[in-house]
Amino acid sequence: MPRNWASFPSFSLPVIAVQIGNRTVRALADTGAAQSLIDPQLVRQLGFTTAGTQLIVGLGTTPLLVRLVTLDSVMVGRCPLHSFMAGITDLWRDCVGAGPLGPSHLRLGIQLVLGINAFRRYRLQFDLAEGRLYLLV
Amino acid sequence: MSGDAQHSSQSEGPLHQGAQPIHVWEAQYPDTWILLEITEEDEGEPISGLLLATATNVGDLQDIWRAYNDKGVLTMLTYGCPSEPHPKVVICAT
Repeated sequence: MPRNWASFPSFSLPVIAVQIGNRTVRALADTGAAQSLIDPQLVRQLGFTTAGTQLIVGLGTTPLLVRLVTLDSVMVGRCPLHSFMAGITDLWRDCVGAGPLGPSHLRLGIQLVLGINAFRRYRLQFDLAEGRLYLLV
Repeated sequence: MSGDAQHSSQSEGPLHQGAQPIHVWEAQYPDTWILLEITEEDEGEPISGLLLATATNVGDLQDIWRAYNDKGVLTMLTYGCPSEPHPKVVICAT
């Protein structure tokens, strides 16, 4: 049976390796996000063209209008994700802010957030103890 | 490519630093973007790689990353472990 899971550190955020063509990048599997997000640096690297816009909002943030790209060749392990849209937003610098504890940012080293729209046709199973995200058909 | 990236050429990498597990590279270069050539994978899961380049700004790796891709090299862009504790992430959207 082909491998249908990706690994991440035990009891940590599910930051997994995903493959797009010849490139492997780190992505956060985020079931709390309706919309997938992609870093503009990765968009440039992949040579994607944008198509359309989408309003997104997070906890404690104001709505933000982002441009969209279509990702259609993303693999998690041996599981191909079906074509999905991702909003372009800086997953690094935009998160820097002077909060009450000083400047901070996500510091996750991710270039992609896989929201629930990326996992159509799959059932997800998280094993936090083993650090595995299973994609089940 | 701007000056922040430190990269080893394709020949220097294998000669001076052999392939290592991905997590070893991530521990060796904290808070740093790391570009690797994947040398071992398990059904799509990268296991080991050779160091191609590192940079504190991911933008500084764009040119070399594209160059290796154009040569058909399977690459991985990853990020080194945090060197100090940082706030817990509770939501990931801007």
